[in-house]
Amino acid sequence: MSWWRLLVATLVHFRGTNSVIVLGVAAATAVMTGALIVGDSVRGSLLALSDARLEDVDLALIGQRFFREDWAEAIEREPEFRKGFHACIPALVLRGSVETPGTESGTIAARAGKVQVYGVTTRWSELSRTSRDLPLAANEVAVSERVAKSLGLESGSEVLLTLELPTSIPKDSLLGEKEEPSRQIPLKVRLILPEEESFGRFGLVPDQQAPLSVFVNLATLQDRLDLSAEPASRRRAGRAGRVNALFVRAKLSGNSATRRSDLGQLVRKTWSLADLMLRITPRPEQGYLSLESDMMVLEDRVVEAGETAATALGQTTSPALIYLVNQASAGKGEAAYSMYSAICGLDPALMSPNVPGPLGGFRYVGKAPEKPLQPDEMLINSWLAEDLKAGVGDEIEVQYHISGSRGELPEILHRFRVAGVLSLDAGTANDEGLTPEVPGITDAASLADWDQPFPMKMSRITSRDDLYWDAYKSTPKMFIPLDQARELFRNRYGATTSLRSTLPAGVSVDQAVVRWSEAILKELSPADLGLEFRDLRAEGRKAAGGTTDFGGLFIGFSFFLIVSAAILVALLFRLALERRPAQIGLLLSIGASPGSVRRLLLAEATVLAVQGVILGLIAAAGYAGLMVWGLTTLWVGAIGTRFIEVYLHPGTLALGAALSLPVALISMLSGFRGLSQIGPRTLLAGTSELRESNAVRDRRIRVNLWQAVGLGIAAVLLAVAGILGLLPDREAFGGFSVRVVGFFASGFLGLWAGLCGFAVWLATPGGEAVAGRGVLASLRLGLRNASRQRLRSALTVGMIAVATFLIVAIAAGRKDPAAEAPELNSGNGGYLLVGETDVPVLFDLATAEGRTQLDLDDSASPAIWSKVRAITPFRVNPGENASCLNIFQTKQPTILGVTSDQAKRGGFKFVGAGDNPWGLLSQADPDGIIPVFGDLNTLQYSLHVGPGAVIELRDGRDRPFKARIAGMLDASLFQGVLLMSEANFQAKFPDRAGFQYFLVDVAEADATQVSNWLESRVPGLDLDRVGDRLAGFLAVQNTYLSTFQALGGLGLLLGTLGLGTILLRNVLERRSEIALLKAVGFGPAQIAAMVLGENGLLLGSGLGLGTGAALLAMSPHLASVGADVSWGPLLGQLILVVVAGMVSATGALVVAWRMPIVATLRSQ
Amino acid sequence: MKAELTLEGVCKSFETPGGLLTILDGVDLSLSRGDAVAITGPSGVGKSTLLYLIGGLEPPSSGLVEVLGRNVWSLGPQELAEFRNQSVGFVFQDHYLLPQLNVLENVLVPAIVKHGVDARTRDRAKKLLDRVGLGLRAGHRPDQLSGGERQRAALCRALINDPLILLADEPTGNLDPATATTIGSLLLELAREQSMILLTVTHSQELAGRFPRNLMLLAGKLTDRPPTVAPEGARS
Repeated sequence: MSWWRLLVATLVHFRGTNSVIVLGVAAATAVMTGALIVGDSVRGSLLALSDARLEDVDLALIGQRFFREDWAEAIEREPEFRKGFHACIPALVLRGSVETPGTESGTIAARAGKVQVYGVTTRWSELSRTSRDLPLAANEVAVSERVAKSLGLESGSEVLLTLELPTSIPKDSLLGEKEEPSRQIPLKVRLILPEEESFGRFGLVPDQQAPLSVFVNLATLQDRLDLSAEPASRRRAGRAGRVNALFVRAKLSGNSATRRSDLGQLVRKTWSLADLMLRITPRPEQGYLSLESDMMVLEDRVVEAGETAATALGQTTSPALIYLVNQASAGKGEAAYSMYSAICGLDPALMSPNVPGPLGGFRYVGKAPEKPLQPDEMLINSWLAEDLKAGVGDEIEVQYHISGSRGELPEILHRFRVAGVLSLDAGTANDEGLTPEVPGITDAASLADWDQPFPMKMSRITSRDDLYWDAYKSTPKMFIPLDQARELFRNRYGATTSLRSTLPAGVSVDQAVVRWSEAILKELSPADLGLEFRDLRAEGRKAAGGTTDFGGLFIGFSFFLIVSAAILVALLFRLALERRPAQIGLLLSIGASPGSVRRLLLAEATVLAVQGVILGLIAAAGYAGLMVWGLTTLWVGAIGTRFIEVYLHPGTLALGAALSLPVALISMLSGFRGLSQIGPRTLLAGTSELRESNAVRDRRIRVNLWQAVGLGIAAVLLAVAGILGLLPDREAFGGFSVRVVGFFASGFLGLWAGLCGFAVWLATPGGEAVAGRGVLASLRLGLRNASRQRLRSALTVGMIAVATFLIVAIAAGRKDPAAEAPELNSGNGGYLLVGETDVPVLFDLATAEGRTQLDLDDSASPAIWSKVRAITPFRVNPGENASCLNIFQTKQPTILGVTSDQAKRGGFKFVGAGDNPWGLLSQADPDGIIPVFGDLNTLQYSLHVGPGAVIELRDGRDRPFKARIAGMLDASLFQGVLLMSEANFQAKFPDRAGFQYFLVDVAEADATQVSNWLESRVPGLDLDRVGDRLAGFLAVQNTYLSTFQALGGLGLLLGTLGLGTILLRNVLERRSEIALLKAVGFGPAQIAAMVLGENGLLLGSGLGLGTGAALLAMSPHLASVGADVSWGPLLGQLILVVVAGMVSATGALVVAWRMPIVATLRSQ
Repeated sequence: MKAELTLEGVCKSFETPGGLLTILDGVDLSLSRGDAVAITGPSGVGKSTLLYLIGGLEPPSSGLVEVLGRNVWSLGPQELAEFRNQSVGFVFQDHYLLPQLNVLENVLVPAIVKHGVDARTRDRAKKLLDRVGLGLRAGHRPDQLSGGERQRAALCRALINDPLILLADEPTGNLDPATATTIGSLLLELAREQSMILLTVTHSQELAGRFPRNLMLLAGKLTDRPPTVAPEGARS
């Protein structure tokens, strides 16, 4: 005989009870470990999705610039490339919209916006894991399944692809193309790419949702977007077809940094100035080389590199800034003016006649200025002097356009004093080369032939102007100090139009061009120009970590299930022990120390826990499978994909076991905690409850009474304060306002007060326990029985009430934003429509001038615009979707540039902010940190930051910059994006011209008409109702609530089993009484009424208290317009709990009825 | 001869809804090895309570319980457990045999507390079982025994650690008269053989009459009263 033998014998003897305990532990383990497996499964599936999404693309260079298509071949030819990589494939990557034409000409039937458009060659199949070819003829398109579904496309369908027309010169600069912002390309659907097949899921940004993408023949796109190869012309060198993306397939999944670095080296080795949209124009006649940009303006970094490179080669440089002056006059008569002349900013030091050419060497008509040119002084050439009848000392007024932020071109006046008149016949001022080539203008035969993007005052052009153009073309007529020119004419892209460099001696012009080109390229890095390769695979894998720890989330969702299982285990273990208190008493009476007895019970518990955990680990896979099934069917809205599979990792199983074992042990130990305080004599008498002294009991009743009264008053006061609006709406914590927290607290206090009141009632029940007759009398007796084990009854009611409180509160918390009317200070900001377009709108839709520029001022226009109360545009830098619709980790969300109009209008709901916090976006930060706003869900669940946090974002050149969360929007339309001021946006994303996101304030009755009209007139614009957009975001939240509700409901059901167990305990404890009642003639109905009455009281009290408190907490929400409570399912769930609770009581009932009367009486 | 067991002014009160209920009110008692005492009295006067506070199962409200010169209720929990294990043997009205163990194992349970079970202990258990006539039932489960057999097994369990004091609380209460007589005889014989102090609480006049000394507990006081029948030793 030994302790071990005793342990084994005990375990075997009580195997029936023990197996139930083991099942309870197994349930807790299965739920907990299953939740962790769900986390693994989501992560593993996201990783698989991420890999599948990229096919065989490992790295990619996707730039704002358009570079040579054959650059890819140049990279591939490098031996270093072949060592680590398989292929480098050129492509065009653009965003556009796909439309299906309507029945009437010029109308559209359906439109899918934000479609990723890939222009691909036959080499694209090299990136397919299945070597899938996309055999696309010139007019054909392959569409992803999601595009096909959203537009109802099938093979052979006709579609229109709308794309922004790329231009070299920024569209919102003076000479940028504005007339034709987009092109439509008619295409026929050749292939529909299913999600599960090659390229059907292809996408560049991590998103588990199927992509909206189309694949078009590269040559077709190049042709339609003016990106085709161009033959050499007299004026310029020939140009290869252009692309903006290179996709690379690596040989091995090596170190990401190394792979990127290797490709960076290859980029630097093989790139040319043309790939950077730069060129060096030799001007041998003038004796210099000129570095120019297709963008018209050289970026500051390029100028810096050009200067450094030239200096290294022993060459001298001079930056120049050319601008167009609409009109110049000196006030010397109506006819004394000049139209459309170039003005040039140069270093004043070079304007001295004493400075030698080629960069200096001006010759003057008359006296040269004695001092270098000062601000507001200018030099004019002799032609202009003659036109204006002006000379040294005269004041000249120049008029020029500047580019407004909304496409407008306000005309600015500036006056200069003439400091000198330049000769056109001698010196270097007669230099057409100072003006970079601008196709359509500098190559025009006459001023009348200009293809300019702004209105010209043709009638004002004089014959002298034409004659000048004939003779001197774009040769500047005016020179001013470079610094002042930069001050007046700088745009956000740069402040230099050309960088001139002296021709070195001893080398040919061609050699000089090559030498300077190479030197410039050496000075530049791909990162400076946004030409870095990104390791898409590594980024995807990192993002697959997910925004949400689904393991933790499901542990949270399953919280009540776990707690219920743990409580059930504790109750069962306690029940098992209560069947043998005399045994424990005996062990104590024969001298076993309480410690020995505890150790024996602990060993017993440990063995059971280990068995349960092992069984639970097996069941966990099944539970996880069930949850994954739920996620891909019932709750698919939470993750937006059906491609989730169960992933089992041994480490997770070990973690599940490590978590479950202590939970099970603690549960069981809590089951015999009180037992160790009971003396052996009491145990030997078969009693397992500590008897409370009268004084302790009375004190407890008094405390409970005061608690019930105090907490009840506090709950009512808090609720009244909330209803009267006395609670502030600022943030309390975690994004919850004081008002919301107040109401929840009032509900919780009400619940607590109710439980205390119930405890008091149990301790001092009024009325007679034995009265009446028949079943009703038995029921009365049953109700009174609940007060026998007051603590036990109160705890049971408390557990059921808390679970009910949460389930009802969650069910009552559902919202339907579609039902909410637009209101300024709400999530919809008072807007009814939201629209997005992939074709930037360069002009302001809100102004008549802007609409005129957009050709929206036809006869139908006034009727429509009179219905639009406000239309607010936003600039857009597309990024990852950081809303709750994307479960991949995001680092660079889409950023919206907020105009001053929106800032003035204010509105939207902020967490813990003042009346109109929009001004915060424009506040300057001494450290240069950009203030941004984000939605609570985006910040907390995607970016995992809060107000005040500083995050790192990347600008338009992919350079990092810091942003501070200056405000947090609450349940707003701006989920998934960040907002920054327009000024900051333009500084960080200078390449993003125009507006692509619009909010429209319009009456409900006019919404459809306005929406249809705008969609048909603004290229690519796709308008939605704000309520529908918000409902889409909330669908995820509501799905999570459903998940929580479902699992919480399961927990509550399991809790009712606990109730059944408690009832069984009560019956077993009172077996002699029940035997006696039977002996004196109680029939089955009376016994049932007594047992079920007690059960019903506990169950009903818990459900009632929990439901009442939850409804109190949620009353403000329930009274709001957007409340969308599914009362039916909730009621069904509660009824199910009642039924399950009553059924679980039947076990106790059966035991009670089957007790042999005589034996039971004798044994007691 | 110095008494091995001494009770001085032992009181015991319980709190009830009606107030404090005193059931032992200054009990004095001195017993030495070989003494065998039967305590009788009406139900609820505290007979069993007196046994439990001697046996270290329930503390007195006041007074002294000394065994071998040591105040039992001044011992710490561990020492008190050792005292119960080494110095006291209990026989209850109910046998409290563990249903998961056989008879021999049940007898050996107290032995595992202190020193564990060795061959000598096992041999002693077998001898005890032989002595009470259960030698052939050692491998049986409690539910395979009759009431008298179970009580005999419980007696062996009480004796396995060779205690100084054997406390029996209504040991024959659940037994038929013939079996009760057998159990009573065994109690007295074994206590005498092992030179123990035997205290038995009983309602049975027949059993009490066979004890050399009878005490009556009434109104919280313990008083001597002559045996109503000839004691076991006298008869023999």
